[in-house]
Amino acid sequence: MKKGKSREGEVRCLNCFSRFRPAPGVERAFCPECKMEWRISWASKKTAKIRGPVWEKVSKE
Amino acid sequence: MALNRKIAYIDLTTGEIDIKPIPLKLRELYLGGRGLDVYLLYNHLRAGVDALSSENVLLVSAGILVGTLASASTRTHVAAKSPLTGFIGSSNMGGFFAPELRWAGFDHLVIKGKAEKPVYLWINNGKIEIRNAENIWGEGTYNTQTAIREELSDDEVQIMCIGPAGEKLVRFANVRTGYKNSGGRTGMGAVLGSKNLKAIAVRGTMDINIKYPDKALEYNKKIIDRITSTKFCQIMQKWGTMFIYGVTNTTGLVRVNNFQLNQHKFSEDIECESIEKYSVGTAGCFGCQIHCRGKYVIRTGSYAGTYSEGPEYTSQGAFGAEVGCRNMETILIGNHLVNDYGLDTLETGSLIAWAMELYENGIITDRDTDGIKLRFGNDNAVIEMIHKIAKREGFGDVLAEGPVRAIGKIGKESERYCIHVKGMSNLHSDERATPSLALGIATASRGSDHLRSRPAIDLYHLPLELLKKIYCQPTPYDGPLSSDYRDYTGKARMVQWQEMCYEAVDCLGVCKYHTIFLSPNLMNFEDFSNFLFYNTGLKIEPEKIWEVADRAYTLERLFNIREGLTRKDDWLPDRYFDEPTPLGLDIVKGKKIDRKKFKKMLDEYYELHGWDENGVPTAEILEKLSLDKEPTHIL
Repeated sequence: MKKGKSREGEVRCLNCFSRFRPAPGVERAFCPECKMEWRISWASKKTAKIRGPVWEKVSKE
Repeated sequence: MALNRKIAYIDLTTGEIDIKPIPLKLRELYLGGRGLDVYLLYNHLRAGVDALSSENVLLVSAGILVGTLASASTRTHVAAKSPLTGFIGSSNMGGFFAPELRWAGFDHLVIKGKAEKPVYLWINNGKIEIRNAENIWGEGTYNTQTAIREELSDDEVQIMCIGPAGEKLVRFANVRTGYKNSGGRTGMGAVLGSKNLKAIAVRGTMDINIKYPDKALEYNKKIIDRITSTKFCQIMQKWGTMFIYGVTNTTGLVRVNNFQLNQHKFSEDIECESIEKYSVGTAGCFGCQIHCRGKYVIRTGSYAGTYSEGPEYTSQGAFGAEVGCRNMETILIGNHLVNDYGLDTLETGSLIAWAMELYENGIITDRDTDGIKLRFGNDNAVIEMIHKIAKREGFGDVLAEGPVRAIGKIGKESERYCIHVKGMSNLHSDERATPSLALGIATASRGSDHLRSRPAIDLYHLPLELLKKIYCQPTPYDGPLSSDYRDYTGKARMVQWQEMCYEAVDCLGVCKYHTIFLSPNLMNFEDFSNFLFYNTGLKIEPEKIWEVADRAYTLERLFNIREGLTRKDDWLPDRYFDEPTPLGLDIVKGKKIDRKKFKKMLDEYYELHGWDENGVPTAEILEKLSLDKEPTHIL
């Protein structure tokens, strides 16, 4: 386990790879770095993961 | 002690059984499981035999740590010449079979010949019996296991078996234990079928004495804490490998509609989160804390009420993305069917997806498919084709032959659309934006495969310092590395390192999910060495464990070369080089593999292995690995 700053509740943006912490329980969140919006899901109250993109916003084709 | 398990030679033609000890010298050279199996295969199989003839040799084994106090020491290995590829057949599964085999007194089974009638093997506390299986021939894998337990009046019996697909010699039929655990790839089920061997049942109560039990327990506790504290483990415990789909599909690393797209848009219904309404919990294999094996019940339709286990990431792709379907129930039904028929889910889905692209391009028509409309997104057609493949009915009989032979039957124009390497279909992953993953599938010893060398952590954009910490030990490496998964720099080393890591755990019999596969924080060569010492007393330093892995991997290479493999076989389908990815995140869109850079990467990979420019191990490396005199026929 990595020591130091806790990464509890963090996800890593799949677009720019920066880490951010969505508010607890939210289903959508923006990456503060690249502004991409993600759907979020929770394996537990403290473990978030990116579920996928908001398709309507990425679907241009 | 943990090293006193035996090897049994079973001749199904004559009924003769010979039991021998395993010399310590071979243990030190190959440990067990996959490593010792390739030694046995190289020594016992004559080059060029028909893989479905009685001359093929079937190997079933447990890794050297199986059933000990090492975490997830559970894996069974099955090997033979592959009827799918003609190269090495090798498959690995979890569950409870291998520990029971060891408690019954055996580490390796060498099965030769062909029984006159269907049989199964009954192995119990040092004794082996060949029993009649005519009453269960034709049964699915679920009923087969139940029937054998009833016949033996023992619910604790562990069984690996084949279903109807193996009996019908479908070239990608697999072996199963429990509902879901499968020796999935390279058609080992067809080899059992060709020998009239329906199943192997094991039960044992012979203790495995641990060399240093207190130390082993203490070390295992540390490993368990390390594993369960990772985010990877917490997510796997809830969704199993299905969680991977969200990441890869979002990025644009998934094969959709065979190979036409690389992202499955608006497919929320097949994301891992959508399994929850079908889920009835999760289960684990022997000695494992992750519990990644999903349990589910189909809720509606003609399969309503059916219980099965899984699905994994592979089935999400096989009966979802690849075939253009967006219905979780199609995935759950498909997964249940391949479990029961004993089919490789990945090969099945890939071949159906290929046939769909051929159909939509008019290369095959209703006349070829018995009227089945093989259009992407046709859920019913997917399910219908699974039945037909397993039973070798109609067009299913063509696909049951696997990619190479099916291309031969359909015609040369179908070849471009088929996504395979060495005659084995690829996972539903799209590697055009990820050169390291592409090199892995091109060079994997058993054909296109993600479980032999995939540096999955390359997708995590890990800092260079961490990459160096992982990839520059236990053997020295001072070349470049790169955190960018789109890069070609240093990727050959990452592939080689992962090959050695996965080969090592396959010799030990530990699950890959406990190693540096999907998380950078899990077990490495130092942990393998410590576990081995505390449990067995064998002191083998980390760099020597690497050498064992290198020896076994190089022998797999020699086996393949003996069967006709050349550099041309370590290559990707043309579409990887010619068709850029149309979808995905901006960092992935428009990517294709660069031929020149890929060739250079392949050269680097050969050099790292000590192989020449044709991919043939040099005399120097053979001598270094003590392979220069093989076959030595010690066992």
